[in-house]
Amino acid sequence: MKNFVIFLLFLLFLAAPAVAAVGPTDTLKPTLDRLTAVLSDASLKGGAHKAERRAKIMATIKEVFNFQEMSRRILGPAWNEIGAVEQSNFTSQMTKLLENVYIGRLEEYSGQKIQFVGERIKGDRAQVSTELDYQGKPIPLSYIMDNSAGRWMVYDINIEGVSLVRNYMEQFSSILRTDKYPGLIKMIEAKNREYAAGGGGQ
Amino acid sequence: MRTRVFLLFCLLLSPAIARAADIEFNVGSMQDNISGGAVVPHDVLGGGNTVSGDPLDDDFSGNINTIADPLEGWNRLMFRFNDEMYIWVLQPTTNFYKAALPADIRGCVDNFFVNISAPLRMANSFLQGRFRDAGAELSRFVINSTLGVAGLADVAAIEFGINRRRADFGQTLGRYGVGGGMFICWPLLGPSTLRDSVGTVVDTLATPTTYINKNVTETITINAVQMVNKMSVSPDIYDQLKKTSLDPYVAMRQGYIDFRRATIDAAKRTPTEKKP
Repeated sequence: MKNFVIFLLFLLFLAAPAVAAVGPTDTLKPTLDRLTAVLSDASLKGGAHKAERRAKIMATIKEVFNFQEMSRRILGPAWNEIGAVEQSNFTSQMTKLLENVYIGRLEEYSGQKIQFVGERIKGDRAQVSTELDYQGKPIPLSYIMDNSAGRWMVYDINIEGVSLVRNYMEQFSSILRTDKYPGLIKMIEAKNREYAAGGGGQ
Repeated sequence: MRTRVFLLFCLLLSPAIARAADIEFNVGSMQDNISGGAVVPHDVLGGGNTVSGDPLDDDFSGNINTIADPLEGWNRLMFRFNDEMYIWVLQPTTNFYKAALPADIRGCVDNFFVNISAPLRMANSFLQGRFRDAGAELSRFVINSTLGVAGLADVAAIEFGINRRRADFGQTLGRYGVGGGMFICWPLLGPSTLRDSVGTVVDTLATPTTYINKNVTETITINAVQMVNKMSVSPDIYDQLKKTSLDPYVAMRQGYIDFRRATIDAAKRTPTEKKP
């Protein structure tokens, strides 16, 4: 029995570093592979299956995308002023918006392979560079990840130096100055309704 | 006199439009992005902006509204004007053009315009101390002008794997520490900064199409074809930007500034990066 416990402990020790050693690319790749599988799944294609497809995609992507962290960074200093309830409301609205923006874009490139072209780690942060194919031209898409919670999670997407998070952050800070937070959240909700009505994406 | 001013204005159009529509993507710059070591934070905008170009250094805090945009009111007006032009003139023309010409031919036209501006990218790469890139552009120009039948086919990229390098005079100025200055949204030409506007004028003066045109009609035609063709082969970035943003003007301004910063950072890294 004692030997068995020692054996178990030994196994644990073996397993622990193995888990901690999973790098940013190795964390991201399986999820993106599953995402491509869903995107190229013929039975999920088209407008009729949009809800089902999106649900599957979001469930997959949430494994490596930290939407709360994205939302916190996008809102900037105002995040700390709105309180926990509103923080979670903002996160869910923002998740919906990013879903419409990012997934909506990926759906157009469905069926194409995502190439992993590089990885760069700097302390607790990493940049995983990928390429999507657009009519023969490679489109570089970098995932910016953070490891401070012990697991690599995506908190920004960067295309040729253009950061998704910073872009929204700058837009929102300009809106916050004039319309304050209640005005901003109303605009995000309106944008999401626009997407839901078919105004953006299929 | 009026014709001359108009002509000058038209001349201004050519490379700027090509570049404005040229926020497209190539592998070369991405590799710069990955292999880059320490990035020295620099004052890109001359306006107290201390954000380094490295996304891994960006804490998204305290750096709000660092883009110098004293002409925001005017710029927003121009942005709206360009938007109307895009919706009512450029987009319908492009759609018609797309329907009339198959993708292969549009690709050839794009290759042709890219090829005749190769000496420009070679010169700018050279000025930036990116001698390998200058050499690559020279090879591309020689290969594509001959084997590629006057630049209609990008043989250098397809057969020899030499991809296009990104180089313009605004980037050259930035490479040597010239800040962007204030943001400007030009009518028809779109987003720019003071530095990049100067760069555009210099690049225009060094572009062959500036000199081969005999009259105003030809100038307009060549520039229009170049612009429409560019749009027909590029991803619909502008549509996406409008669709996905809450304030398209700010989204465009930020996108332009970030993109230019990345381009200049890549130019700064290139000479040291190649020598281990």
